Amino acid sequence: MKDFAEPLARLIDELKRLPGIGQKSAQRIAFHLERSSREDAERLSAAILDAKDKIKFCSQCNNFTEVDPCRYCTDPGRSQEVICVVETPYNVVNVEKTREFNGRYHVLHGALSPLQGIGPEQLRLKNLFERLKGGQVKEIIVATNPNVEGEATAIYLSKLIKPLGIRVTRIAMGIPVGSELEFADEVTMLKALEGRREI
Amino acid sequence: MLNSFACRRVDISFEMPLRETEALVLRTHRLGEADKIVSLLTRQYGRLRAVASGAQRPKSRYGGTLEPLSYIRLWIFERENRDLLRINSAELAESFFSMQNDYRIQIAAQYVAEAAERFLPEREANERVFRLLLAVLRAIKRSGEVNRPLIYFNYWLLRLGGFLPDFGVCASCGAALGAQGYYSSGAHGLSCSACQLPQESFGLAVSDLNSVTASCQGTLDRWILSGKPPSGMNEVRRFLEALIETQLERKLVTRDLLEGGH
Repeated sequence: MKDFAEPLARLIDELKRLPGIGQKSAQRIAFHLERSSREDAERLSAAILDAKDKIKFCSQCNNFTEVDPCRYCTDPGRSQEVICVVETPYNVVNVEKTREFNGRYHVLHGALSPLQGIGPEQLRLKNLFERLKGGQVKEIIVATNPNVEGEATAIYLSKLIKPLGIRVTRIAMGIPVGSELEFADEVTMLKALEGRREI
Repeated sequence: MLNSFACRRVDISFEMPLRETEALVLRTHRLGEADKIVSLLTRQYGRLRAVASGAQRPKSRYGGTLEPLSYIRLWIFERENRDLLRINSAELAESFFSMQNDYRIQIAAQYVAEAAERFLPEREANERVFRLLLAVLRAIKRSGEVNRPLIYFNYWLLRLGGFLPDFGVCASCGAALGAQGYYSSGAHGLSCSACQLPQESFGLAVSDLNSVTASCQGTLDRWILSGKPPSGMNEVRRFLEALIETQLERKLVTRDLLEGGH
């Protein structure tokens, strides 16, 4: 005998497919939805479908957007000379939160990961090189994650972009703000020393 | 998962709750918002999977310790009725992070990690394979060379697993091979010209294979220091990789990228 009624079991199965949602979380969300009103459930399903139907990739930077090109690519107040390359659309939000970056973005939708079969062909690189052809871009900031995959992607990109005469920089890696040197491992400490700056 | 290795089954239902071991990080997976599942090859307990709580957080106490291919000292414990072990703490012994500077070297190193993860059964200690991986990664890092370390790794992985065929005879009919052997996809060894499947096979000079076999009897460092690699290295590497895939009955994703010649 099944533990749950068939429609509820199906809902739990669908929720379990979402990232970070296990069996117990899926059950909790499913029971919450079951207890909520029909209007709440309709609003949620409409929001999911609306996002699915209306959100697309920006043809220039590959960010998720409702209008193409996206607001970052069309904002005249943003510099066209600097492009920040990130792995995912939510990394754009992280950089934006600093309120210090006034250039444009390019989203790769991944990083080089041989173990997952992700090579350069799987990354959205083609339109990045089309953007570099115009001659307006003076600097590429590679803001991929500070891990093995992100570092490999950064070095791969720099080897392709530097010969075009464009400055390639990498976001600093090292000791997080608020932590202590005592707990830093050798790789983190080495990267912090490599990325030191004059004060 | 293969069980031909001469290794001992390890029960990690420890009397003491916390155990210390050396390990190589084979790969990591995200778990929820903050944790990671880490696939490890440990010296004392074989291949294990363990949860590192909070490892995705920027101020994680693990820092760069759990990056793939790190050689670490590890403290782990097991909870009752849980499949996965828990990492209590980890210290970096040696980092291979700098291998990311060359994409082909990165693929080679990750091929080693993938083959080991697929080839080795869980929780069966095999110190010789652990030492093999460490030696191969160090050789790739030091020399920047891919072919000889990977040939050495493939040769010894097959040999320690008991899957290395006799290179002198045809795997189909048992006749002695002449100057040339042929490998067909899915075969467990080389075929003679009479048994080969022409459309699906590639040729291999038996003298190249014999030369490689002789070189693999010594240490990898000595082989690399012996000078220029002999001819036919690419074909020998491809052949040994294909034998590993045949034993695994599955393709290795990193092998396609290696062949892609990035």
